[in-house]
Amino acid sequence: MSYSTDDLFVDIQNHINNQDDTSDSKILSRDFMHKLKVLQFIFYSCESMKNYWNDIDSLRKEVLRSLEENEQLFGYTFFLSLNKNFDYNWNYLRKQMYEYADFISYACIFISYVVEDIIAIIDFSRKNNKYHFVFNEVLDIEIINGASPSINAIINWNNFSELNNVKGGYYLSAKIGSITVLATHREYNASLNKFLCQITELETSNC
Amino acid sequence: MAIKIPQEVITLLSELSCESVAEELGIKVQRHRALCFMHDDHNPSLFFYGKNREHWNCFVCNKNGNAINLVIESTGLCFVDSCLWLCNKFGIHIDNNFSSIKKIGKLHVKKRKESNEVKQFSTYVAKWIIDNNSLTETGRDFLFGKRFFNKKVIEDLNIISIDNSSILVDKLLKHFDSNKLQNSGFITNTNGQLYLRFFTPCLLFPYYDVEGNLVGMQSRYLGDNTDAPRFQFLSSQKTRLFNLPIINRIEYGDDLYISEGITDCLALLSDGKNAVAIPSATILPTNDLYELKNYRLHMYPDQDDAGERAINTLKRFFINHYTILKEESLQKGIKDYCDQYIIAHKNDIK
Repeated sequence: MSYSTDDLFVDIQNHINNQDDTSDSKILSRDFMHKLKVLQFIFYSCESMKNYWNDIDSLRKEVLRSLEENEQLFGYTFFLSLNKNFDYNWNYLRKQMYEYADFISYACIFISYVVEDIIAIIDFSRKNNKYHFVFNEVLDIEIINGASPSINAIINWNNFSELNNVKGGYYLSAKIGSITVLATHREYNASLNKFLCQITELETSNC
Repeated sequence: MAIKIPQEVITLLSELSCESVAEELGIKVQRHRALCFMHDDHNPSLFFYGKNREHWNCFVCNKNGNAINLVIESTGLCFVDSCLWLCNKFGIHIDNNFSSIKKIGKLHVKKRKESNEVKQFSTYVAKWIIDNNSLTETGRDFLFGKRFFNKKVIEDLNIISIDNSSILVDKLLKHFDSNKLQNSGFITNTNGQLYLRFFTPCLLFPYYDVEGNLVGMQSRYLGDNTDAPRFQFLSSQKTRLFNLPIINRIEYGDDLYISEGITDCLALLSDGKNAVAIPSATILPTNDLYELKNYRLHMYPDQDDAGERAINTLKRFFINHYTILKEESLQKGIKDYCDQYIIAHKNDIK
């Protein structure tokens, strides 16, 4: 089964659509719609940079080039620096652009790895679908097996800022309900197979 | 030395498929239509017809011709150079002396004239047409006989139909000055003769802004000519939402459905839903769409690639304005909402 960043974003939106407006997840999260807009931006950036997924340096260079060409964004940094209540000066805000390029680049890499991991998890879940998998405490993925597997993709909006903590890799947990069965720090360029095998081994040793 | 293209070569060139020529020129052709390169076109106005699609016509610019004219008009080349290029591209033998005289390199279609001028849409002429025409038998058959739309919905939207364009033009000439008509957006002058821009028979759908001002018109062709475009917009009409005034009758937070195309919108309205329509997903009426952001938005996308693209584009637009557009599902095997509506109501009537 193939799966893409577009598919993941559709699944995230489908979960949102299926919640009613009084749902706890929406009420508890302030700025939910603003975060959704940021998430949309990350997904579209990720998709537009797919040629660079395998080379973080080139990806970062491309993101930085695009930011530097964004005149509105640059003007915004100046505008912010005019605010006396805002303690940061313009020099600092300009330098933050490089940090911002890192944020976008690593968020893109994270999303691309999540998609790869989901494909591996779909295969894994054909034999064992007790688990749901949580990526860096921000994205919860459950595979619903059927004639064609479907994905429940839930964003934990309260942990949205964890998208900025994916530089060297991310935490991945296999859970049954609220209980964590196994967790790992998933590094980029490593395979997920070892983690999935460990889950299987745990099951076997528990039998 | 002047080059004269032999008549037999000209005859061969004039029988070439203009669609093939268009594609060689880099003009994208879909379903025998393309965006016109001669005016600021957003809904394909250039169409190709004839057994071998050897003719082309833009019903907005009122220009037409064969493959040679197509090259001349799109590239600015002279007649001879256009012929030489076509011979080279399509393997038509021409005297070797000619081909050695001139080599035509890669051609580029001239940049479309971007019109910054806001062309006037004559509300007076539009209003007169609406007030002095009604639904004909052809229109009623399409809307009620085949699609079972609600009669009050159609009446409230001031939808009319025109069977015979010549009769309408004659009536218009009795009420309006000829020059005013030609500047109204509705009438075109070809070789001294005035014609209605819309192919008939057709339905006419008036577009209103949120204040209820008449701002545009769209037609839906009802005839048998397969070369006629199904939908036409006046060149003077900016892309707007159809049925925008509905937001004056609903409250913030009420459900509102967005459809791609007017017939789905009519089906939704006939089903008792609040609905507006975008004329096409390729150009979003962003100013009008922005007015919708305070409502609970829904869409039944068409079950095809274009429908998927449409809803993803709209979802993206609304997320950027902090609003969710909820995707609704059609019954399995149904292409669009109108089809679903027809099936449901056909059974009711039986």
